Amino acid sequence: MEDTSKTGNDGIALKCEGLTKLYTSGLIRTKTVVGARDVTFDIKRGEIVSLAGESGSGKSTVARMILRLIKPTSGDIALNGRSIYSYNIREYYRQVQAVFQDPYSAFNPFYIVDHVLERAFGLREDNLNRDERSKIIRSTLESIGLNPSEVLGRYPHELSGGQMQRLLIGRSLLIGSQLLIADEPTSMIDASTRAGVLNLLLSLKKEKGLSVLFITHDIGQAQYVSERVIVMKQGEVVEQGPVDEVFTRPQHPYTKELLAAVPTLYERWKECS
Amino acid sequence: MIGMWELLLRSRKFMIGLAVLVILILLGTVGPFLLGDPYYMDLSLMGRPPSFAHILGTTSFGEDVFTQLCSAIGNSLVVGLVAGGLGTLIAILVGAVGPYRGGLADKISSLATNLALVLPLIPLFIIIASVVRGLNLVLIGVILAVTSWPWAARSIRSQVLTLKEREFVNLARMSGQNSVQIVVTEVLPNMLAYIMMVFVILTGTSILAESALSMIGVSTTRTITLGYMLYWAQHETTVPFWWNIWWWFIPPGIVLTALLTAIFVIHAGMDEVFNPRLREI
Ligand SMILES: Nc1ncnc2c1ncn2[C@@H]1O[C@H](COP(=O)(O)OP(=O)(O)OP(=O)(O)O)[C@@H](O)[C@H]1O
Ligand SMILES: [Mg+2]
Repeated sequence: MEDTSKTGNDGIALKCEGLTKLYTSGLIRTKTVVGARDVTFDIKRGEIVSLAGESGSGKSTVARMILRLIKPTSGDIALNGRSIYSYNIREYYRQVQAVFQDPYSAFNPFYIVDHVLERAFGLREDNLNRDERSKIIRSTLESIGLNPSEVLGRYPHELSGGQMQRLLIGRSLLIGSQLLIADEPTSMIDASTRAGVLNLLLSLKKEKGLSVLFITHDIGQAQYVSERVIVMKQGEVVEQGPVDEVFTRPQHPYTKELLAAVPTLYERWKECS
Repeated sequence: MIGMWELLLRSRKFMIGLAVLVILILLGTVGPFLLGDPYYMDLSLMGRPPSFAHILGTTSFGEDVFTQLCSAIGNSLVVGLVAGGLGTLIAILVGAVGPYRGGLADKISSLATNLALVLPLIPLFIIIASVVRGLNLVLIGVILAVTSWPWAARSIRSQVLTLKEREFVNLARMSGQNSVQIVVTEVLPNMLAYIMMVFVILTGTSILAESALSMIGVSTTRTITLGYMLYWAQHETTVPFWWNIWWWFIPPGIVLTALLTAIFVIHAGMDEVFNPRLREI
């Protein structure tokens, strides 16, 4: 936690070590569910790392711990070499943001979508006036392929899933975050707009040096978007390494199983590039 | 969300209920201003039937029934609104604090809700009425509020628990908002329709409860409410049979029925609009 490590010369944006989450429920006879166990990995700056695994394998649990939405039972998470809990909340969320699985649940149906973008300015240090904010919002939306007049001033149910996911990515750009936790950002949107969202992540990585933890249960998308992949099963990491290695020469039987289950998807995503 | 309010204005139930309610509110607010002292007794005019001078006749004390009726409507509404407003507020506070603070706060609020749920209203009122001197309308409203919120707090709690799991709450947290801000700006607005319905129903049941208590003589015996009129109409014995003065107890009876019906019809209209499963349109 010294200041020297803060600069993070090692180029590592996020480091998780021995991350464990046990969910306990019940007062007298407590039941414990393993959310994640001894998860260790890191994400370099400007790198997209995929976190793959079947439903219930603990992917979202890891994401929520990184996002400080739940507290780990044990283990450490460091952002730029400092424990994430040493940052104050606003400072932390200025650097780490998220896109969630279900865009319909990520927008409050009570407000027009501008609400979420306006809120984002609360994290910025500059005090912009209305016009300046609106200008930045517009240029940001345009830069990620959204037509501002098509999305602004609308209610969430008037937008498509793809537009909403882009808006959320736009929101994290407005905040200027360096690390994006994308928890199955494409699972609720149709296949035709999926490629657009994936390509957007790729271009942001290239142009802005954005680091992304891309969570998916779809091996094909992991292959398409990332260079490194972490495979989880029942809360534990069973295999991690460069995508091509893991997917062409899987070591763990579970990875082989996963791959065998999705040959068609794998082919389809290859076509997109 | 905007569409909801438009649907509400198009709901026949809601609009009819509202029209009746507005008429009664006007009677209760404007009436007392124009009609003068409802307690004024003209001893030369005791128990007179309706006439041009006294369109609803007079009581056996020589008071003008219509003047009393207007005051009674106003005062019953005051009791209802105080109890409804305060009860709703308590229900929101108790219902929302548990899910948001968790731990001890959650246990205490649940315990308080369950205790209040079994609070015996009538014995409590009799005790309070005998202890507190000068039981006024606001105080009665407060007591009714204190006893009426538990069921609402329970259902608000369960709604907050559901809404809390929505991803937009996490997104607000990740925009640097604290728990109170999140409850106020993200969670409660989504419950606005429901909270309004809670308010309407608590107001209606409080008016009914006050009337019932008045009728058995444990509410205020000095301020005219609809229940108070009914109480005196049936306890007055200067005329051999109290039902002979039908113009004394029938108007408050009809008005009370109309008021409660209007409130419950408004509630039903809102329920239809806000509850998609019931919506016909
Ligand atoms: N709040 C919670 N309380 C108790 N158990 C939980 C909770 N959240 C998750 N779990 C459990 O932890 C395990 C991991 O869940 P998690 O949501 O992290 O899986 P996931 O990999 O994201 O799955 P999916 O692909 O379906 O989103 C599951 O067994 C789940 O039932
Ligand atoms: Mg998940």
